[in-house]
Formats: sequence, structure tokens, C-alpha cells
Amino acid sequence: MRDDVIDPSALERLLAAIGGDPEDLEELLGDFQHEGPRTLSQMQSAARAGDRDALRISAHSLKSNARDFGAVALATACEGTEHAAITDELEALRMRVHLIATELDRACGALAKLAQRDG
Amino acid sequence: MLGQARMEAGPGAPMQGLQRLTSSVQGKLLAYLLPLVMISTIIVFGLFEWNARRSAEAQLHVKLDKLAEIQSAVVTEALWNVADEQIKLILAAVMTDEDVLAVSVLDERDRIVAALGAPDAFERSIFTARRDILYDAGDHDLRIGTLRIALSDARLTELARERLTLALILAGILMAAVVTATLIANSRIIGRPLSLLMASINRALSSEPRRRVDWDSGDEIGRVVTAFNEMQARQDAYETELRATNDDLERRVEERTAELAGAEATAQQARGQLTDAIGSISEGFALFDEADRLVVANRRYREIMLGDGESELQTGLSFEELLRRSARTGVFPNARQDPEDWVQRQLSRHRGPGAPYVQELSGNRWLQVSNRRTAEGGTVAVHSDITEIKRISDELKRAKEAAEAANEAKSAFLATMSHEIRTPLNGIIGMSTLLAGTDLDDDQRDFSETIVTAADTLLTIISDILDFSKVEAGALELERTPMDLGETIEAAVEIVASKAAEKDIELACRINPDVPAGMIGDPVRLKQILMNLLNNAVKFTEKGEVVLTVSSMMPDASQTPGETALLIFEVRDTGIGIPEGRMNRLFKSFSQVDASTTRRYGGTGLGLVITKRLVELMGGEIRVASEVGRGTTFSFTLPGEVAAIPDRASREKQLGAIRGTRILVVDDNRTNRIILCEKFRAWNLVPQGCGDPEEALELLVKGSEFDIVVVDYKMPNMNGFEFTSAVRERLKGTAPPMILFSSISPMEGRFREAVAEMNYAAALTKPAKSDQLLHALVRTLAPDEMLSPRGTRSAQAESVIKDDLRVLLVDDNAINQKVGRKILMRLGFEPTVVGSGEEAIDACRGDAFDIVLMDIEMPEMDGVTATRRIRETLPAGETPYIVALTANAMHSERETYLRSGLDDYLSKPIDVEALSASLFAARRLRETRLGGLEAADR
Repeated sequence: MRDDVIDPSALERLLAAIGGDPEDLEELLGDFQHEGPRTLSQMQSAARAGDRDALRISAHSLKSNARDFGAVALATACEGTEHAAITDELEALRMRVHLIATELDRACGALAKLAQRDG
Repeated sequence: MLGQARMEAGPGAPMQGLQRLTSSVQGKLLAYLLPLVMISTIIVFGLFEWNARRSAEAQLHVKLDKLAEIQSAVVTEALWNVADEQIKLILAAVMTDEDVLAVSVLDERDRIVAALGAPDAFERSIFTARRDILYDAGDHDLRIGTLRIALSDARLTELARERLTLALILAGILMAAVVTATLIANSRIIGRPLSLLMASINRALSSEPRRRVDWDSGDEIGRVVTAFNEMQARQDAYETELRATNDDLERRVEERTAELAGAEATAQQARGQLTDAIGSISEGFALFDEADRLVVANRRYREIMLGDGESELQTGLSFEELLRRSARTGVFPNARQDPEDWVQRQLSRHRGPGAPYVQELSGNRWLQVSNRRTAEGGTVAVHSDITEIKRISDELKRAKEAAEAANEAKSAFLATMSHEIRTPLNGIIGMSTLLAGTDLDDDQRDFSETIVTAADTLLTIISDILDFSKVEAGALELERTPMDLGETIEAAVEIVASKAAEKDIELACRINPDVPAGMIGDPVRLKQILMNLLNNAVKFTEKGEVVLTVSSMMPDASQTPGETALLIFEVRDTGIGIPEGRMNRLFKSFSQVDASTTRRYGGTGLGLVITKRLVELMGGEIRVASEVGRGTTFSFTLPGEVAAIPDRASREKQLGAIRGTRILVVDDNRTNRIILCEKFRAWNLVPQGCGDPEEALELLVKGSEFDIVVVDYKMPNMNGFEFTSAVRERLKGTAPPMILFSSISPMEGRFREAVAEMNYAAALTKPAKSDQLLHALVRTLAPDEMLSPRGTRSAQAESVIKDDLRVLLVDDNAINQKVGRKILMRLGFEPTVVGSGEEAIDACRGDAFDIVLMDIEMPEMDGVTATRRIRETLPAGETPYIVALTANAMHSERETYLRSGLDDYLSKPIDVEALSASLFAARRLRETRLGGLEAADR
């Protein structure tokens, strides 16, 4: 019923919360396709620069979005990075960001597919 | 005596024998005895001699007489015949007798006729005889002459001499015998025992062991010896005792001496050890006297202070001089720059000993110096090399920091996790609830209800586990705030109500009139306790009812604020009950009545444990009574201080407005009916209960006057709608207004529509909160008294729709902004959206917002800071209601946010119901302010 990448119930929930108009949801999904990678690039540059606080906040931000859209694995990866941002070695953090990039890719793909199907 | 005699021996040898003689018992005895023997011998022999002489002399006289007689006769013839010659012959014959000295014959004229012998013999000798010589003349005797004889005593003398000799010999023998006997007897009877005694005494005197004198003669001496032996024995015993005492004393003296010697040795050893120890300790050690002159310093101290353990440190060296030497050696890097300053610093630290301080040594080594005052006013300095300790401590510190960071991360993870689980769950519940409110077919409704139930259960379990771990960790702190008891209790009941309705169980709540309106306590936790107990009761009850009763244990207690009240809460169900033997397991962690219960009813089994802990934390006590098959009653006590409830006044005013109202209560459930009637009576209304709708209809038709009718929806034979229609049909325009009670949420679309069509004065969900009920009554009967309407949370969601609240949404994330905006728009708001803390502050300055939804995690300025700045900027009466929005917290963080100046807290993803509640709270705040303004205007 639910695959690893996207939890459909979150999407349903989001849909209900915003008033039940699928077009609104689609609009949001479109935003995510655009905003997600933007946040990721913020994370990447923060990781490169060693700006832990910026990394933490952008991870938090992406986590929050991922949750909205039920991107469970992405949200988990972001959360891990958010907590590790202050303490872990930068190298490990960069690895985490890399992982997030992969997860974001999967999530965007899956969400795009869902949007097509619904559409 | 002996000694004395010996001492006197020497001069006067002749005296010596006599002396010895008289000084001995024998001599004394002889001195007494010999004269006696001698005198008695002389007397005896004298008497004998005298007697012998007398008889010898008598014999001689007899012989003389005889001789004279015979011879006179012989001579007579010769004389008569004058024969002289013959006479002479006769005389010569007489003379042959050797005793005859002389003999003579005289004539009648005394002329000597014849004479023989010595002529003078007659004069000398006493033995003389004279005899007349008579001649027989026939007729007469004619004296013719005289015869004279003299005898010698020589023979007498001779005999006497012989006798004397004999007597002397006899006396000598006697004397010798007496002396011998005396000596022997003396030596046997006295001398021997005495010498034995003497020997014994001499032994004693010469300190040889005493010997018993063996002399058992039975006489005085024997008794003396016996007494002596006895005395000696006593003396022995006494001496033995004395010796024992002496020995003991000696032993003790020896022991004491040994001890003293031992102590001295120990002290000596200790001194030696101490000296060795001071010398060998790894710390530098030095003792200075009261004038800061060195008394003793070990090698290590010299090493530290002078860089060389071989350097000599003169006793009596002043500390200051020592410091100057140290400064010169360069051991202390700090002394290199300004040695004098360094010396002065050290001196001041040395003279005012305080906490140990750390000094750096050359070679990146570290020293801890501790100075202590001794009792004599001197100073002990201990210098410890703490290089290694410092290294370890630094490492430990780093490790501790790392561990703390890890622990914090873990806690944060746990918090997040629990929150992350709860957030989607809340979403599921909220959405499913919303879903149920939409147009669904039966299957869909069933599914959505199942989702709600499952999610609800999961949420309870997670909350339980979190609460439990908090309670177990002792981290649970109770709030102390005035709480509206009625509101708190009813809120709890309300939450459980839907579950009870689903199971078709009557849920009733009865608050006795003696229960104070407000009390100091923790409303959240009290609600939790009640919810736990009520949920439990509903869970284990298949049919019947669950009734919560609240009463005061002190009926006479005044309800004035500040007084102490003791409440008793009782949750009674008609469920399966608990077997007697299982009761004790009820309040234990992770334990339910039995395993099958767990399977059938689910749950963690933590609810009651938490409940019990909470009750105990509040100072109460929880009890359970149960009967299998009949039901269970949980009851707990709650002590507390009566508190004033702020909006009590308006409530009193409202109650005053509807006082005396006649109410008909139509409900088939007796408990509910009684509770409602009681509540109405407490409000000074005049209720009448009726269990049968047809009967009620009769009452109304027959003319009983009621101002208002409260009717239950679900009744056998005739439901609430039917009853209402019937009443209206029969009474037309005089039909009283009606309030509908139902277990079905008004959110349910079709039902809601039906209710709306029926045009009730109010439709309330059972069990109705007092405020809600009062509000409905007042709105119906005295609409003028309405100030601030209240409703259930579901009603809140409805009532805030299309409101004119001014909302500011602050979030840096574009998607979050959009989602938030869409949700708010759906709820009927036109939010202003900004992307940072600074913008939020600006927006608040420019526009008066009623509510700010503030994201916490933002770059540059976080939500907490922004909130603080907004509060600083705006006057207290104009600050908006600020709600934290975050994806990062568990319930406990709510308090953290509240302390940081935020009014409320919402977790992301945003739960629509929770958001509605916050919006409603903002609205109330605004109304309160407006009310205040209006009051001021009047």
C-alpha cells in the first residue's frame, strides 16, 4: 500500500489540510520539485563552507517539506543531518548531504509520478 | 641467743664455759638440779652416819659394861687373897683386847693395886667404866676395891671413815646418773625438737624453703611444734599469695615496660617511616616555621624548586630567599620575565593559604601547590606534579563534553522521534476526523473510523510511554495554577465521550454542588488522570454506563478561595470487572489483568501506573473496587486549595438571568437524567425528569408549563427528532424551545443538516460541558446576557471560520508558507506571510495582528528571538497571540517555548484541529481585550 519513498497518507492529509483541491496540491508539488533542489544546494554549499548552523537550518527546512509530502526516507535523512550538523565531522556531514541528494532525487521522481497518475 | 653467745665469745675464756653452760637449757637445768642432788645426798648420808655412829657408840658402851662386870668378878678372888701378881696377869689378859686402852684395880681406899695401859687414858677417853669389886661375905657383900677400864674410840673413827668413803662414791655415782639422765632427757624431749625448730627457722632465715618440723610428741613442745608448723604453713600461704601478687605486679610492670618499650620503638619506627615517607613521596613536601623559615624539605621539593634534588637547602632558610633561588634557576617560566613580581606573588599566596593553586613548570609540566597552616603557625607546602592528572582531566573533560553532546543528541533524537511519531498520528486522526465529516458511504466511514481508532490507540501508547519514562525519571513536575474544575473535568469527559458513543455506552458526569468551582492544581494532569480512568472504563465496558462522580469529602468545607478542599473522584463502570486476585497487578508497570485482556483490549498497561503516580504526586490516593461481571469503580482523592475562577462573576450573572427556569429533561437513561436534573437544580432551575418521550409528550400536551425542554436524540420507540416534531405538531406556537443532546458529533454532515432542519435552540454532544449547556440555556432564554460564547473544540473549528482575525504566518520555507497559507485560507483567513524574523517584527510594528504563527527554526533570527523582539517592541496590551511552529519537539518542549514568551505551540506538519484551537484562543484574547475596552468606554 505504501512504498518506501512516499507515504501517500501524508499527501492525503496535506490535501485535506489545504482544503481538498488537487490543483493546490499539484501546485505545491511543483513548488517542491523546484524548492527541494534549491534547499539541497544551500545544504551543499553550507557543508562545503563548514557552516554548521546554516546546514542545520536548511536540513531542518527540507525535513519539514519532506514531511509535508510524505517523503519519509528524505525526511529521516534530513533529520539525521540536522542533529549531526553541530557535532559530526564535516566529512561525515558531506556524506550525509550526498545521501540527502539521492533521497531527494527519489522523492522528486516518486512525487512527479504520483502527480501524473492523479492528474 | 646463739648469736649473742657467739658474739660474746673471745675474751675471758674461763667465763666462756660457764657462760655457755648457763646459756644452754641443759646447763640451766643442771644448775638447778645438781645442788639439789648434792644437798639431798648430804642429808641422806649425814642421817645415815649419825645413826651408824650412835649404834656403834651404843655397842661400845655395852661392851665396856660387859667387860667391867666380867673382869670385876674375875679380880674379886685375887684381890681378896691379896694376890697382886695374879691381879696383874688378869689385867694383862684384859689388855689384849685391842679396844682397851687402860685398866686398873683400886683397893677399898682407892689405892692402886695394879694398873696397866696409858695412865692418862681415863681422862682422855669418854668410854670409861668404874665398877666396884664386891666380895661375897655370906650375909652381905663386902666392897673390897674398884675396877676401872678405859676403851679406845679408834675403831669408831675407822668405821666412820669407811662409811664416808662409801657415801662419797655413792654420791658421785648418783650425781653422774642424774646428770646423764638429765642430759639425755633434755636432749630427747627439748633439745631435739628445739634444734629441729632452729634448723627450720635457720632455713627460713637463709631463705631456703620452709620445712615442716616433724615432731609429734604430744607434749607442750609437740604443741609448740604443731603451732609453729601451722604458723609456718600460714606464712607459706601468705608468702605464696604475696609472691603471686608480687609476680603479678612484676609481670604487669614488665608488660608495661615492654609496652612502653614497644611504643617507643613504634614511635621511633613511625618517625623513621615518616622521614622515609616524606623523603620518598612523589610530591614535593616542605615545612616552614611560623617565621617562614624552612624546617624540612624533601628531595622532590628541592627538585621542583631548584630544578635539582641534590642541591642543599639549609634548614632555617627563609622562604623568600628560597623563592629568589628558584627564580634564578629558571624552573618557573613565569618567573623569567619579572622575578621580583613573581616572588612577591608567591609570597602572598604562601602567607595567605587558601585553595590549592596551579603553577606551570618548565617543560610543559604543571604543578599544584597547596599550602596549609599547621597548628603551630607554620606552613606545610605540598607541591604535586599534576601534569598527568591535568592531561587525563583534559581528556576526561573532552570525553565528557563529547558524551554530553552525544547524550543531548540522543535526547533530542528521542524527543524528535516521539514527536515525529505523534505528529503524523495527529495528522491521521485529524484528517480521518475531517474525513468522517465529509460525504462518505458506509464502507468509507468504517475505514476512516478504524483509522481514527487505531491512530488514537497508538497515540495513547506513545504518550503513555513518554509520560511513563518522565514519571519514572522523576522529571514530571506538576503545575500549580488555578483551574476551573468543571471545565477540566468536563473536557476529559468530552474527549472520552465519542468512544463511549461508538460503543453505545452512556457516559455521564456528575459534579456535586459542594465541589468548589476552582482549585489550585495541574489541569492538564488532572485531565489526564480522568481520561485514563474514563478510557479504561469505556474500554472494558460492553454495555451499560460509565459514570464519573466528583464530590467533596468535606461537605461543610467553605468554598472560599484559600481554604483546603478534599475532593473524591469516582469512575464507576458496568464492565467486565476485575477478579479479586488480579487487583494488585493493576497499578504495576506493563501489567494488565491478564494476557488475554491485553490481546482483547490492547494497551500498554501503563495508563493506570501513570495515573497512580500522578494521583500520588498530587497528594491523593487511588483505590479500586470491583466485582467480576458487575463492574469496577476507581476512586481517587485530590487535596488542594480552593481557588477563585476569574470568569466566575459573569457566570454568576448568567445563572442569575435564568434562575427559576422550568426545564423538562427527556432522556431514557436514568443516570443522565438524574445528573442533568441535579446540575439544573444546582443552578437554581426547576427541572423535571422524564424517562419516556411519550410520557413527556403527554405532560406537555396536558398543560404542564416548561420554559425549555432538553431532549436526548437516541431513545427507544421515539427518537429526539420524532419527539420534537410531535411536540411541535401538538402545541404549535406554544411549544417551548428545545435543546438536543446527542452522542453523534455535529461534524457529521448529514446529521448536522438534519439538526439544522429541526431548528433546535442548541444541539449539544453528550455529555455536555456545564459551560456549554449553560451557554445554550442563556442564549435561548436570556440572549442579552451573552458575553463570550464558548463551544467544544469541534465547534471552535466551526465558529472561527469566516472570522476577521488578522493572522501573520512567519516561515522561511516557501513550501511551508504556501501550505500554511492554504490551510489558513481554507479555514477562512487571509494570512499575511513573511519569510524571516526581521520581517515578522516589521510586520507587527506596521499592523496589529491577532495571531502570529512563528516558525522557530529560521536562519539569521530564530522564532524565539523574533518573538522576544516583538514583545519588546509592542505595548503589553497590543501584543498578538504568538504560536510557535516547529517540527522539533515533544510535549515537554511546549513549556520551554511558553517560558520563552510564546503563547502556544503547534507542531509541524500542522494539525488542523490544533491550529483551530490556537486560532480560537487568539480570538478569545482579542475578545477579552475588546471587552475590557468596552467596559472602559462605559
